[in-house]
Amino acid sequence: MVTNMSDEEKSRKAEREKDKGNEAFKANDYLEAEVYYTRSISIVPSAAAYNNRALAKLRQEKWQDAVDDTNVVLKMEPGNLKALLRRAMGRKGLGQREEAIADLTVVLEQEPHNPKAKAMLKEVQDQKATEKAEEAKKSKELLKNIQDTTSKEGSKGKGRRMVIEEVDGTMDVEGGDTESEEEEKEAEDAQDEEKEDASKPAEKLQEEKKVVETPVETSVETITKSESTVEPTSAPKEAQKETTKPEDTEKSSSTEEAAQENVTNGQENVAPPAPTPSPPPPLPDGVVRLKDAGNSLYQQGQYAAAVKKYTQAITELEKEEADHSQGLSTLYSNRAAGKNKVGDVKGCLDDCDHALELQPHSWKPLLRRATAYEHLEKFRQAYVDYKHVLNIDPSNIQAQQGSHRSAQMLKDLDGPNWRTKLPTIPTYSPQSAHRTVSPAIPPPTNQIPEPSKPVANEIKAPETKQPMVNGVKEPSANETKASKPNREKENAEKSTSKKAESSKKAHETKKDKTEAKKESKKEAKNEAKKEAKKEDKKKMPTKSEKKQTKSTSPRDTFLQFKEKGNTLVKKGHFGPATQCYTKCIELSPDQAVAYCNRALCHLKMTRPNEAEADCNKTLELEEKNIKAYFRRAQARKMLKRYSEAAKDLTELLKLDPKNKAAKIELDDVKELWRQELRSLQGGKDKDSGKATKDAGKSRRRVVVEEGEDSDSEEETTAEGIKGDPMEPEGPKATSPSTKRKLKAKVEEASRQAKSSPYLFMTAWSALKNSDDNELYLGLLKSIAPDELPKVVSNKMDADMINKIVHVLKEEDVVNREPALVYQYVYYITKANRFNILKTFLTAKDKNYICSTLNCLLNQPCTEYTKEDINALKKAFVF
Amino acid sequence: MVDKPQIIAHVEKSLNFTLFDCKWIPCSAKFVVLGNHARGTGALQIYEVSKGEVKLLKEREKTKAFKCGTFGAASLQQRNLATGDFDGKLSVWDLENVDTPVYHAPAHKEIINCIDGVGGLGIGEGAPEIVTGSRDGSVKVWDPRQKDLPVATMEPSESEARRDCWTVAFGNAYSPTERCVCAGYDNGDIKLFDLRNMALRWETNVKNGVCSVEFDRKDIDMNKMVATTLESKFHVFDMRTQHPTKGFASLSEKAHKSTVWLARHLPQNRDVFMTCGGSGTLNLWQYSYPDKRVQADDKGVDMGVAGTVSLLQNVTLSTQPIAGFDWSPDKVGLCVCTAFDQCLRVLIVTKLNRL
Repeated sequence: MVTNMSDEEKSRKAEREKDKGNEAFKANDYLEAEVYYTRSISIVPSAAAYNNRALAKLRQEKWQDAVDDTNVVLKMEPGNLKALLRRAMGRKGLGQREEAIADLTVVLEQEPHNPKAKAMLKEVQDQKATEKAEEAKKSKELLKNIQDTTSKEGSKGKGRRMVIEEVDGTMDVEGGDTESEEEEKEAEDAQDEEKEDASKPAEKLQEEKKVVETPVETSVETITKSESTVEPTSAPKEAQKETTKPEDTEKSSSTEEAAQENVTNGQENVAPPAPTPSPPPPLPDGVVRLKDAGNSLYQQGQYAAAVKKYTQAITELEKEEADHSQGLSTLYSNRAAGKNKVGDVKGCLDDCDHALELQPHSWKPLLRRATAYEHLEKFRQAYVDYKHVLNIDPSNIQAQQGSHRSAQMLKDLDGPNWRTKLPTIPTYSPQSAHRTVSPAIPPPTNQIPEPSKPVANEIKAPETKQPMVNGVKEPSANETKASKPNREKENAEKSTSKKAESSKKAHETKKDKTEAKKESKKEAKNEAKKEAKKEDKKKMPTKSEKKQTKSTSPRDTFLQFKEKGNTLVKKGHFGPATQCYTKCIELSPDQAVAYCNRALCHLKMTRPNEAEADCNKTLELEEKNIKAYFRRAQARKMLKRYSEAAKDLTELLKLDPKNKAAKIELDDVKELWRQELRSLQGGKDKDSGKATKDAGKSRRRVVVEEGEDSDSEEETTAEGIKGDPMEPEGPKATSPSTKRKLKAKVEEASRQAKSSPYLFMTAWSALKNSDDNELYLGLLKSIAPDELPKVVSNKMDADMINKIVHVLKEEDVVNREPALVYQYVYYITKANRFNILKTFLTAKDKNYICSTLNCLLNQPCTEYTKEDINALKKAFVF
Repeated sequence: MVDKPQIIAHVEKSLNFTLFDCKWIPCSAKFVVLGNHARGTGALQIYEVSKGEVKLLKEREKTKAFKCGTFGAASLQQRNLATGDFDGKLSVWDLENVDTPVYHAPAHKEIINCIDGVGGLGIGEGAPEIVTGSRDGSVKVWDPRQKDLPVATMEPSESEARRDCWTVAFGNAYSPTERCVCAGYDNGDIKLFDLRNMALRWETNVKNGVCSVEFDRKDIDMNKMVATTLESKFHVFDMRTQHPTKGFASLSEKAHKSTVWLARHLPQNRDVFMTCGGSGTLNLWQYSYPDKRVQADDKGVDMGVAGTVSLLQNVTLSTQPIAGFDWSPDKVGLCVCTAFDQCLRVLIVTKLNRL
């Protein structure tokens, strides 16, 4: 509460608390008064508050505390008479007469006519005299008693007389308070200095532990210490994590590792990296001290004071000749944080800008700038900054929330097209960018080319990213696959030969430098820095760089083709656009974007097969490409593979639950799928509508009945979304685990089926969604044919008859055990209400049953005769 | 006695609309006047006191008449004014840009009679909050950082009669968690809601409609509270000690010979307060604590003891009720008041620091 106030507010608040204390004091509520004075002191320690608190404590006869308070006052204002007087009172109360007399004499020297002091002095001296007189007479024990009583009497008498005077005194103190303010600040500074002098290493340790503002320098130092073999880099944990990936695959040499680390740093800028070839020069001691002081002040919540310290540190550091851009950046960033807390939003912005100038892409100042922008209600800039932070560190919760917040605000402000009004988001790394810069989704169902920005956006986004895509990350990943044999060879070789090879590459990279510059400023900057580093240090370039050097030359052409393709798409010339993208792919086959765009063209030209292939490729390259999922879904929809389309869309919605277009599309696909199912079933069953309804019902029923096994509940419902009983693709959709579960259930059911028709029916309806004929058969076989009418009783319906016959025929039981089939079919006719039931069977169903029975005729079996079969047929048909 | 405080009318200005409320803008010599134009629209004016006169700085006419306003929940940097209007809408205005409110909520179904704020201006610990009381009988607590939904609503249940809430006040905000709201109703009910426990802590009836309640300080452990009523009476409650059955000790005093519209405590001295009367009079009072504020009853339970009030000054300014009054938080003794004679007056009360 008190923490984030400006100096003025603080002093106001302190003043107010003191006033409250005075009021309480006047109401003779000394304890409460003390509380408010204490609060005032905790906000801004002032001599007046201490002095008044001392008086409040005197009234409560807390002598020692009162003396302590007056001591503080006298430290702040050595000549404060009131404090001296009060200390004298306190000391008198404590029985320290000599000291009390000393204080009083000082007061009387200053103000010879101070009646209070005179009176008190006299009193104390009298006490002393009587004490001495009695000392002569009485023993020490007695003396002590008397001492106490007299002192008490004395103080009480005094106290009452002084009530009025002292209250006046407090009022006076109030007036004089403003004067003391300056001194307060001095005192504060003094305190700070004391803190600074305190042992530094301990402080550093503390700071590292604390969450607030982990000073980058310290971490750098620790890293350098711990990895003495590795070049000192300022790679914080994140960067290290990144590097571990390559480390896993390339443990060959540590130097290589180091180089790679440097590269990732240069590119990633996760934290202020070391831009200079040499390790960053250590900050001058004075600056470090100032910064530490600032940090500790910040942690204590004294933001204004912290800002001051940082400012001092910055001015100090700017005087230095060496390049301290990193340190400066941190300082600016820290000061920005302080200013933000103090409420100086503009100052915060300026500082963030400074920090970012010095160290582009560092997330802390970015985040701070974003919050500052948000404060100023410049949501657009805030959004961009948040997004930028997310590009750097997608897991940053603050940024996630911030971007969401500002997106909401922007939506409110600018309506649905708010994105168009955004300034461009600075790009940063390919992987994260794909996730975050996902533009709106292409139109859902209509295949008409849209001149909309989704396409434009989508195309633009990867473009700016382009240099990065070719940069470190992806290639390094690809590289691990591609160059395995290569690496093995290398491993066999000695590191010296490797060095020779690498120096060649270093030259190559030098050539490429000029090209890189053209592409994007920041990128160029980074690369240039990196290059400089490499040349100076003669480091081994990483393999990823090797890749980069290769791809840089076709990169321009790649871009050109893509650009051309994009414009063609916008105009609606999909054929030529496809060719452009194909060329793109030829140039660099590992570009997901090209595939993805070509897929769009194929879609527009209603070539779903090609589109699907392209989407597959895209998804291979990039698992979480939402657009690719969407397009594949569209393609599969065209191919009438609705279940797969639905699968793609559900996958997409898992990635991006808010995607409206996908939701609409999913509904559409489901509807189509349902229609298809209906038409499929229509062949077998007149009452197909009822069937689906039943399926729905049973689904619900399962949920309730299987309550004892919550897992199965989920499975079945999930199943309901994924697959449908009659869908030929269905079985694929069933995951092995669900299948296992169902099987278990069926086994369970088959064990108990005899005892309970109810269980049989439950198991049967649970299977409705599984399409696994085997399971059906297993279940069916669990009951003897002659028990069928009993077990099923009146639950038998046309659906069930169909299913049974279907299962029997499909699973080839007809040929293996014709007798059994006959028996089952026979007992179906014996079921309750069979005569009514058969009217529900369609002609097609009946034909199917007859053909099944005909199959039985062909089997050599003695269990039944031709007449029996014919009778059965009749039973069904008539 | 020459030493007693004098109330001096420093500036008097006649306006062309009905004035309901006036508030000093903290840390400035400016104040805001809220009211109702004859055509039913709301008036918001900002004046500055300079060189012995008041200067109109800004004027805005809004669609609905303003009834009340407060800076109590605003930060010292922003100093946003929260207002309640005849339509039941709560709005928060940035006085630099009064065209659109920075916050608004359809707070009540009927006119908002009263408003109070806490947590801003360095007064009161904890979150900034605004409380509104309305003719619809409900008292609602708002956090200007939370849109549309009140933080708390205190209203009678369906079966109970809905009394017109005339006044609300925050108090007891001495720690970030503690906070109380006191509300006065037209039937003489005074209810004290504890916002921490979300419970009715105490209620009483003072027979006449309660026009105004105010704690002497919002940001201390409840000390005392003044409630003014119709029929020329006001009550002072000692809020320090609550007896389980008798509640809070109180004294009542006759004043003004007409409705006592308002009571306002001096920000610089909690024991001095001004009451505004229906006959256009202002009375300045001082409260004196008893020798012992707490005493035990026959069963040994602590109960509070009320002190005494003494009239320091009495002045007649107008023939119409004085409905708006505000002490300057910055200058001791400076105050502004508005009366139904469509005049605003800037007053100076002298010698307050000698009390």
